[in-house]
Amino acid sequence: MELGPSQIAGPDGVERDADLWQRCATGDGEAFGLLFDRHRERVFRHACRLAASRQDAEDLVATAFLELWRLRDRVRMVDGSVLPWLLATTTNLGLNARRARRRYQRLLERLPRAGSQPDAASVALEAHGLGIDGRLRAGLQSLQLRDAQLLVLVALEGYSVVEAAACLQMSEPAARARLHRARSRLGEQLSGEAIPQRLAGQEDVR
Amino acid sequence: MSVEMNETFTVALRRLLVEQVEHGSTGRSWSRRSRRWSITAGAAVALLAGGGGIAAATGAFSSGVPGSQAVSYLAAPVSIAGNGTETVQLGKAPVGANAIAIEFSCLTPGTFNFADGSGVSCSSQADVSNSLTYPDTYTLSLSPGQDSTTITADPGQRWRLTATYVTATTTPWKVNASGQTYGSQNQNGTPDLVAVIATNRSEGYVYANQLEGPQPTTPSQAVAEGHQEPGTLTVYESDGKTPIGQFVVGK
Repeated sequence: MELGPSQIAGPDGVERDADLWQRCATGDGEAFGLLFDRHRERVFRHACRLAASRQDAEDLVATAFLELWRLRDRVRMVDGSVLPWLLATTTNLGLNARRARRRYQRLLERLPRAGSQPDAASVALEAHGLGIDGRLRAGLQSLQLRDAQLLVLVALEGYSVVEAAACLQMSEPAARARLHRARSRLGEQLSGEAIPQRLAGQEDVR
Repeated sequence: MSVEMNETFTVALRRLLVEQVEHGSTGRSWSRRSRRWSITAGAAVALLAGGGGIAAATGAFSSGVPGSQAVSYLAAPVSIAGNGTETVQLGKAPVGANAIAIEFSCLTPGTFNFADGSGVSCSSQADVSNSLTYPDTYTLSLSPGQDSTTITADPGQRWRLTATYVTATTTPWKVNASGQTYGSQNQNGTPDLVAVIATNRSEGYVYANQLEGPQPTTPSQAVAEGHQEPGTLTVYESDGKTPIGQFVVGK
C-alpha cells in the first residue's frame, strides 16, 4: 500500500494531531484522513487483541474512527494526541461489540475487502505473547470497562498512569487504585495460567 | 511478521472518513420545512435503560431480522447538532433514495418530537448518557424532492442527529413451526414474537402479548412508561420455545 507522508509519525515537521484536529473542525476531510493514516496501524494491532477475526478487527478500527468523528465534542487529547482516546474507545468497542458496532453495521458492509491475508487475531495474539485466543478478551471482560481501558493503555500500550488518567478523565490516585484492582482481578480470572508480566505486574510508577 | 489491514478495506475506509468530515462540517444549513416521519418510534431510550431494547422499527437490529428494513446507503452520513426546534437541510437526495436512515441522541434532558408525533424522551442525565452511547435509530421515508427534516424541542434542549440517504425496503415477517409470526415491529404492525435484544445482548424474541401494553407512540407516553415498575420477560429463539435470555420492560 502506498502510504501518505504522515504515516511516519513523530519526526519534526509532522503536523501534530491537535493541529490536524483543528483542521477537521473546519471540514477538512483530508486532515482526518491523515489522522487515520497515522494511527490506524496501532489501533488495528490493539483491535486484533480483542477481535475474533481479521474482519472483526478491521470493523473495530473503522468503528473507532467513525466514533472519533461522531463524538468529536467529547474527544480528549493527551499530550496533543488522539491515539489514547482511540485505543480506549477500541477497548470499549471490543468488549461491548455487538450493540456498539451495530450502529455502523450497514456502513461497514458497504466497504469492499479483497484478497486473502493471514488471520490477524491469531498472529497479533502470538506477537503480543498473549497465548490462547480469547483469554485476554475474557479477562478484560471480567473488569469494569474503565478498569479495562486503563489496563490496556498502561500495561499494553505503554502509556504512563498520568497519561492514561488524563485520557480517561480520572485523577491519578484513582487511576492507580483502579489499575491495582484491575491487575488483581485479572490475576484471579487467569489464575493457574501464565499471565503476561505487564498485565499482572506491579503498578507503573511513572 | 507484521499484521496489516486489508488494503482495499483501508482505502475505502479512509475515503469514507474523509467524506464524512467534509459533509459533517459543511452540510449544515437550516431552513423552515415540515416533513413527516414514516414510522412510529417509541421510547427506545427508556427501554434501553432496562438493559435491552425492542428492535421495533428502529433498525437497531441485525439486518437479517424478518420485518426489519433492508437499507442500502447511498451517501456519506451528515452529522448535525441542534438546539430546540430546527429543520435540518440534508442536501440533494441521490437518485434512488426513498428514505433517510437517522441516529438520534439527546444531548440534554428533554422531549424531542418528530413531525409524525413520535419522538424520544430523555428524562435524566442517565438517559442522556445512555442515548449518547446507544443512539436511537430510525428510518424515515422520503417524499419526492424532500431534502430536510424537522426536530421539535424546547429552546435549550440539545440533540444530535446523523442522517444518511438510503434505499429502504421492509422484509416480510417469517413464520415458525408453530405457525407464529416473528420479526421486528414495523409499520405493518406487530408479529406474534417481537425481536428484542436481551440483557445478555443475545438477539431473540419475546411474546408480543406479554409485553406490558402497547408500545408508546408519543414522548409523554414514553416518559410515563419509563417510570413503570420493571417487568422481566423471557427471550426465546425464533421457535418461541427455546429460552436464551431475559428482556426487561421499563426501568
